[in-house]
Amino acid sequence: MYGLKRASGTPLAAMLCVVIVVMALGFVLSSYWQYVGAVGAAEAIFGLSIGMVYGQAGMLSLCQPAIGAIGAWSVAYLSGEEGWVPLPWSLFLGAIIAIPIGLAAGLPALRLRRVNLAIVTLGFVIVIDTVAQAGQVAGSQESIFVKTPTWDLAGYMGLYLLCWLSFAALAALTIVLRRSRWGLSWLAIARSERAAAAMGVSVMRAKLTAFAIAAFIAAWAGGLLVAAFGSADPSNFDPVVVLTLFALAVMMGAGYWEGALALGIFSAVSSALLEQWGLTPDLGTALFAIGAITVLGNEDAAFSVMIRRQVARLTKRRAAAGEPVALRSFTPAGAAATVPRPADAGSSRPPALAISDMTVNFGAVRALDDVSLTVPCGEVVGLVGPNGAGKSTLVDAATGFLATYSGSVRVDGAQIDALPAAKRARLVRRTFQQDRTIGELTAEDYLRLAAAPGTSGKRIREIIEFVGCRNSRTPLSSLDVRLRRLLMIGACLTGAPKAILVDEPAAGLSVEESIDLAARLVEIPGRFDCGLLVIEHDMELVRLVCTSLVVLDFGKVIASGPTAEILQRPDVAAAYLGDDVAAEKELEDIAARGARAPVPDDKKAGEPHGR
Amino acid sequence: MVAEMLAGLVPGGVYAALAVCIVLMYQMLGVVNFALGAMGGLGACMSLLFVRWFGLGPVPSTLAAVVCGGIIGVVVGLLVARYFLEASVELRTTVTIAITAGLIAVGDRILNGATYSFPNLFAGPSLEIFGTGVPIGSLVEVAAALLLAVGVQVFLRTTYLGAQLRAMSERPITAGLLGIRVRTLTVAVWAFASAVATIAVMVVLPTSTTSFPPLAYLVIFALGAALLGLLRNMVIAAVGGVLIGMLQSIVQPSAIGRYTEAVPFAVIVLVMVWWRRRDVWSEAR
Amino acid sequence: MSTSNRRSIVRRCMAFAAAAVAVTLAASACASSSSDAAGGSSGGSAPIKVAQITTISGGYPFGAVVPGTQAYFKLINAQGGIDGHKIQFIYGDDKGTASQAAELARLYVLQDHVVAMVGNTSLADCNTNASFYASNDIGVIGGGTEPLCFTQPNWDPINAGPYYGKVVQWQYTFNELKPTTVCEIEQNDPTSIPYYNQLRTWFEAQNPGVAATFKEITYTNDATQNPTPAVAHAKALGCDLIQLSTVAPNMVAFVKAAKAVGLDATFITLGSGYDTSVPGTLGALGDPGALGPKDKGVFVGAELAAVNSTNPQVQLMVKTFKADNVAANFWSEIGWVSAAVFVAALKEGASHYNITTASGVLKALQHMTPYDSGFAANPLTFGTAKSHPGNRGSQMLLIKNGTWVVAPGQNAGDYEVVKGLLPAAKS
Repeated sequence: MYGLKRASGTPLAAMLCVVIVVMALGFVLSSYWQYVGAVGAAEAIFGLSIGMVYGQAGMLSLCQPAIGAIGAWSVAYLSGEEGWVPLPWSLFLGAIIAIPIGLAAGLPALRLRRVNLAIVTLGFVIVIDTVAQAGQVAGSQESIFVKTPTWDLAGYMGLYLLCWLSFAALAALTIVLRRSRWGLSWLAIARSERAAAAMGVSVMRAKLTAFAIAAFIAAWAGGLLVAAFGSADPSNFDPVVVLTLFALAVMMGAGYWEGALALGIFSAVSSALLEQWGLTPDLGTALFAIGAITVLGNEDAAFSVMIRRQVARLTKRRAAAGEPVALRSFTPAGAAATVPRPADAGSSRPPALAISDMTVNFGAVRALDDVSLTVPCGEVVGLVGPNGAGKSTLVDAATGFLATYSGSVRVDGAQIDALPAAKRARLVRRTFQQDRTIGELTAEDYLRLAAAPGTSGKRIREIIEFVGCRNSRTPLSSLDVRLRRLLMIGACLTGAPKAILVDEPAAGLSVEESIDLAARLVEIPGRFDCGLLVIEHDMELVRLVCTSLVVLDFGKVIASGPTAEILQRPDVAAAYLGDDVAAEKELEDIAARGARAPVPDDKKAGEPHGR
Repeated sequence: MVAEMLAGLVPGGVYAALAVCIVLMYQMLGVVNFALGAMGGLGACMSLLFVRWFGLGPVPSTLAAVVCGGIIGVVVGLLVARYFLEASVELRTTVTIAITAGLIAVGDRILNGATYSFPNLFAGPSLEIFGTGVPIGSLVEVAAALLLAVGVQVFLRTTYLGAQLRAMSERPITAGLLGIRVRTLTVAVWAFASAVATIAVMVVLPTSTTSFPPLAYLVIFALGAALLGLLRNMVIAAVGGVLIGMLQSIVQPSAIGRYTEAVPFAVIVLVMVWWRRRDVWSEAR
Repeated sequence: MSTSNRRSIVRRCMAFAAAAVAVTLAASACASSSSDAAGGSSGGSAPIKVAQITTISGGYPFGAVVPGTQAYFKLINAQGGIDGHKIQFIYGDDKGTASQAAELARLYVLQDHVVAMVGNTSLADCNTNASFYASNDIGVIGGGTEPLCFTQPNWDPINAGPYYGKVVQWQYTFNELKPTTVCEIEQNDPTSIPYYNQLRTWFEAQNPGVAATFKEITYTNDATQNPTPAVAHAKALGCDLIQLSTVAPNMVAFVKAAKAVGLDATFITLGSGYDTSVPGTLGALGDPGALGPKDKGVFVGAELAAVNSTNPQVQLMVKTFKADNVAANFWSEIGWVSAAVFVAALKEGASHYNITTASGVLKALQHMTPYDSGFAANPLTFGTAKSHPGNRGSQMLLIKNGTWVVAPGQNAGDYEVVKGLLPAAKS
């Protein structure tokens, strides 16, 4: 996968170095500290699981450690006295068994978010705790004992190595996944589900994969704890324990491997120290609660984030802002003449986008009324109209973000009405009025996520260059609005769609920036073999870029045709500006043509307009 | 069956009162206060300390406990108002979860397993209904919770202060610019809810519990009730609380009694999933 | 406080915490290696290190066990220790969770090199650490809180426990109290249900006619802890005797709920319901007849003698507790008696075994002659069996005039005992 090895290389190497040091440390630790360290590794693995679902995918699910219970019980069954599976394998099996449970736990997340999801998953934790206490599951009846693995080493070294090797393997998994499409899609849905779907990411698949893999990881940790204690005990999945772990995960920033590692070490060591000093463990809980609250108030205070910043500062890895790319200008003659048209322009190719008779009702309000428009392949069509005319509604409907509409949408001849948004994204892409880029991603990663399967790295770099971005390794949050806008368009391009719908790309840009944008937009249809629909209020840009216009007012198409012609029409001006001003414009035109025309009775020149 | 249902008024009254407070806090402050049970429980346990240390009688120690409950609410409210006023709903809610863990740690120190004589203001005869005695205190609590629900909604609609609260809940920043004292009102709502929770818990405390965490977990049941009102309607929340209490009471002695705690969870999941079934996307537009 | 200010303070705190942790870690790791050297030697002045893991926090009453054990060891040390060795006692709180219990056990055994556990009264210890104790030759004498504590080779509970306690309860109920209809409300660890059912069948077979009076057995989860529904249900069923198996505060709650609901019945609880504060808390409610004409009173099967017993050993404990400002109740009794049994075993075995090592202590425990503690229905011992249900009786107590008194009609004077052993659990 493009860039995966190189991108994951550094954190992977760093993690392995640290873990190897930790494992070596085990040889000089006393038996007791080996045990503490082993439990710490298991807690760190729980951290990875929480970090994946909450830290990366942004889902406020509290039940990961409770799913660990499944792993615990499985290990107890499989490796207990009557068991027939030796320990490392039972860990794996237990983790596999937990996957469907993780999927089930993830189902509410498809419709519930944030607070609502937290409530439901907390309830899930309580159910698991209730069932465990009720003794209906293995381990608590007849106390199934599991022999702690020793691997023929002294003290708890065997367990220690098993736990830290497990951490290394699972942390490596999360590091690799983080930079893979799955990981990028998690970051995307955490930021904006709509934007993710618009890039072709299936939100459902992203969420469920996060839950499934996190369940695998959590169950592995649960199994390790059983191996450490020697038996399964339901008290480990008490809601307070689960909440404390979650608080710690937030505090340490467990979305990154170092946060999870810090969680494990901190949790194990602090409870060990509290024991040694004879202090109550409640103190630890209270401290974690305070720490979590502090971090919640200030996300930068998360431990792993702080570490990353320090490291970046030390190694000066943050890419320099770089020379800004010179803005392109536009020849006054207009681009329409100079842009290379695709060879088969005007042939009998089906239009890139064809919307027919689209009607959308929001309750009693008719947002779109029998709207039809066509975007031929290789051309730029403008969609204009006053605010509230229904332009964004049209885009939403065409790209699958509206549940119901009547009429049909065809892309490259194929009807797409039955497809959900993420599937439509293979054929038609869109941008958003709001900035829905994924700030944590670099330009490269962002485009890689949006890219159609099989897109080469070379192609992605080409597109980045095309939109005029030089800082492909900087996080998007450090780039200015203009570049982010362009990269949103770039993301559309990497999907190799047949039609692209761009929603008010010039909003907030200066004149020079608008011209630069126009210069790039105009090249898109020819270069990328697609049709482009541009929604805009900036008439200059529209005039420069669009070959034809469609005008929308109150949900109806009131005009459609070549750009220059449409812009002259008084009813178009009237729609934008109001009747009186349109009338004045008409008088000016008449005066300019020098013809004598009857002056309407109620509007003599020079008289103020009645209101 | 009837006996159990009537017996269910005892926990039902607590759930109803707590549910009303949860809806109030969600509507006014944009937070699902998971810590409500723990706050009320801690305030209620203070009554024990007043009896133990100062030898106060039932009435003064109860009043003192309510005041303590209010103070706890003030402290938490100040914390939230200071650092999380402009944060999102889930951030504030997560904060309350963290606070719950901390409060349980404190509460465990006070309730450590001996038997306690909690001041029982509502001790008194029970009303014999259909052959089962229902403690007067619980009947009063159920009635009070319903009255509270209606009263608060009327208050919010008809008084100037209510209007200020509603303004603050919808647009805190704008309200602040209009001169509404947002921070003060926030803290006041926290204090009020905490005091009400203290009273609610005190009614049931003498006849229940040996340890602190169950008091904190009362909020889960109350949340189920609040969700029945879709976190909007206080009266439905109060009625829902009573119903959940009755349901719990019927389930508890039965064969599946061990799973009583799963009851509110079942309610919560069903309501949430049905309520939010159209939320395909995370953002509105 | 501005964001950057706050950030820098948080950063500094984190850095300081990390440094503190690192320093302590290094110190502990070094300390452990030095204590390695100290542990091995025997000889006149080497101390006997023992530890206790008890569930202190989490709202349970077991915390009182600790000062009970401490008081006894202090007394013994004042008398010169055991065979010249002084006893060093440390203890920890496991909060009822397996992870804490496991960690504490390993801390004490592997790091601090204790030779035995004395007085453990924990919800997690028996289950979690059983195999650990067995493989490290650690003997445990303590208060058994769960059925599992009564079936371990290395764990010796000095209390009767739920099984013997239950059979004692049934014996007394049907021989002396003779109720019409019994409702049993179990709040115990439900994993023991199969064995309870087996015992009930066995008991019914031995006492024909009893089966008819067992109306209902319900199992409730301790955590919900709202007794009202259960008592309302019992009233609807017409029960006139309620059997409980819960801790004292919950029992008090049940009685109060019974009054509120109008349930006219006798209450009898297992030993976990015994606490000296109960009569005071219940007040007039505790007296016979308070709930109605069928109410014969509030009974408890105290697994160790009541603190107002006239036995001289009990009185010694009460006197010592008073001097040390320790509250005298069932739990501190467990601490005291555990220590007493332990010291008795070691005093006897000092001449044969090296009682400063774990294996020596375990052997001394295994070969001790039964010791009459003055607190139990029968002499207590450790023994070599696979399990140690040593205490087979309880002292039935009744509330009268605001205090616990010994109940009349017990089959062994001041105690009710199970003659013989209970059948083994069918697996």
